[in-house]
Amino acid sequence: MAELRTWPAVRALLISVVLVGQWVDALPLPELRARDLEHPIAQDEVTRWTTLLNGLGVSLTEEELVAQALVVGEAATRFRRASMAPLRPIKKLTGTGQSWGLFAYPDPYAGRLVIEAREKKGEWQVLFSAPGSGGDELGRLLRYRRVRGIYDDNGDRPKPGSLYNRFADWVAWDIFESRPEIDAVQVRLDLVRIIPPGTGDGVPIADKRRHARMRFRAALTKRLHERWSL
Amino acid sequence: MVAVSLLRRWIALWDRREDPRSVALVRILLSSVVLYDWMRIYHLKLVEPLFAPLAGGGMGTPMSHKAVPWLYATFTTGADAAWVGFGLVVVLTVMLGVGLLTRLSALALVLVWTQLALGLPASDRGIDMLIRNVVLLLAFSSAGQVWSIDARLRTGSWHGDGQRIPAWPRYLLIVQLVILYFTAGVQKVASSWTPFGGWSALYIAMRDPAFAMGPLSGLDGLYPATQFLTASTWCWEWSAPLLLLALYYRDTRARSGRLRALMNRLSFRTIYLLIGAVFHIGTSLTLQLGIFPWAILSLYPACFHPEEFQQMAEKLRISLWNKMTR
Repeated sequence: MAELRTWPAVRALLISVVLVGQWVDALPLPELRARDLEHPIAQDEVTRWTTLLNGLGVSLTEEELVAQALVVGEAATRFRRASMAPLRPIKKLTGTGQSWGLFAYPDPYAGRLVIEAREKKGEWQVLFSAPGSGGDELGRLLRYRRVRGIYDDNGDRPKPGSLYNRFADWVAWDIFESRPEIDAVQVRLDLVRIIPPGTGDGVPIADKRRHARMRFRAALTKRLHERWSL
Repeated sequence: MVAVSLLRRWIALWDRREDPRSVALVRILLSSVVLYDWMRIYHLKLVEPLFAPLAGGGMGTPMSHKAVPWLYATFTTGADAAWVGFGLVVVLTVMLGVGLLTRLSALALVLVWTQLALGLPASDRGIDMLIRNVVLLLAFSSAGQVWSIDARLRTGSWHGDGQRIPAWPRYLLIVQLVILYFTAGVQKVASSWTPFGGWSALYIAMRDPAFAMGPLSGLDGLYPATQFLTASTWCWEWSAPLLLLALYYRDTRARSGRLRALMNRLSFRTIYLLIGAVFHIGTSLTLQLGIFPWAILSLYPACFHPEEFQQMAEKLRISLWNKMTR
């Protein structure tokens, strides 16, 4: 009988520990790093918040605001790391956690993925331009949420990393496999300026090229075969 | 004395028992959504690109991790790890859905899915993490006691033997939903979610080529509507903790208090969830969010006491009987 009375208390304690852990993990702490502030949307936010604070009588320059935000961001990161350390092995094993944002910062400097292809000595033709509208196979593939995660998070920056290069390899290879006439593929990310109605001067801003990756059939085939034969 | 009384009530809350139908419904709906997603990966021929290591035709580099994930350390040839892992998650998702070795399949699903996620972390989205949270919770629940092969084998009936199960997993599912909505609201600190940015967040999201459903040429004309919806979304997410309060008030409806009476009279919980359903279905029609809206909606049955489902089924049965015999 003693065991029966003890178990509910132990269970309530365990659940309480889990609840505290999950809430701490979910706490929206401002874990800001210097590189986060390089993004145009962050610079816009700094300007806007400085103006707002100055309007409220708080005398602060943009540089001072950034410096203070970084101090707070560093402290927040340290707190999260320390408080979540005991739970980290479980989180790693089970792939669980509470750290996500749902459109926390809608990006007015968005990226548009454009895929172009060319036959030998032919003209470039657009195979896909996000968001795309047709039901073609390439469009379905690139709109799939997991694939979008690869190019939207990793490609939508001035200097995309190695994963983006591998993504470009894969897209190009997929096109070469299904369309033997294609000799070259360009995987491009354009900068799209999204201006809400009534906030700009009314003149639409054309997309700007952010970066592009070129892949040629012969070179890519050789490189991928070397990689796969390892 | 107050502290002891509160402690006793806290322990008693997590010791409650109830019918298993609510969590069973979550189990079935969520595994259907997950299975749909796996089938989509197979149909799009993405098993190898997403889950195989670089040498096996994938985009990920799990072999370069300091501690190589066990799936990739075990199956080292070509794309073997991808196909073994993918095959396992599909089988385990089906087992979870039909309730075969329910707890074991839920736990194994979480572990194998995590391995695949480590193969290419960039393709593992927030919703995948959220679903793993829920599946792990289901592994500790008795969600397989009804509408399952386990129930059929154990009791001879798909409906089980009416045994009551611990209610705490359902309560934690509700907490998960509240954490999701509330923290999503609190994190929305970009000025576009506020009057300083003109409530333009939803407009910007709908214009983002990565999330837009199409060119949406008429969107500018609907800008005021998107502003209203931006403000509504923000308020609705911030008010998520009120869902817990509403459920508490429903549970203690016999007690006095104006706010309790008001929230019960308004049926706050139902209204909150109805707005949520409209919001999720609306965003699924206007933004490319993949399985996100459907996975979240599949958690909604947890907000209903199992007896409410029985009452709803009874009402439906009487209504159908009346129509047939009229």
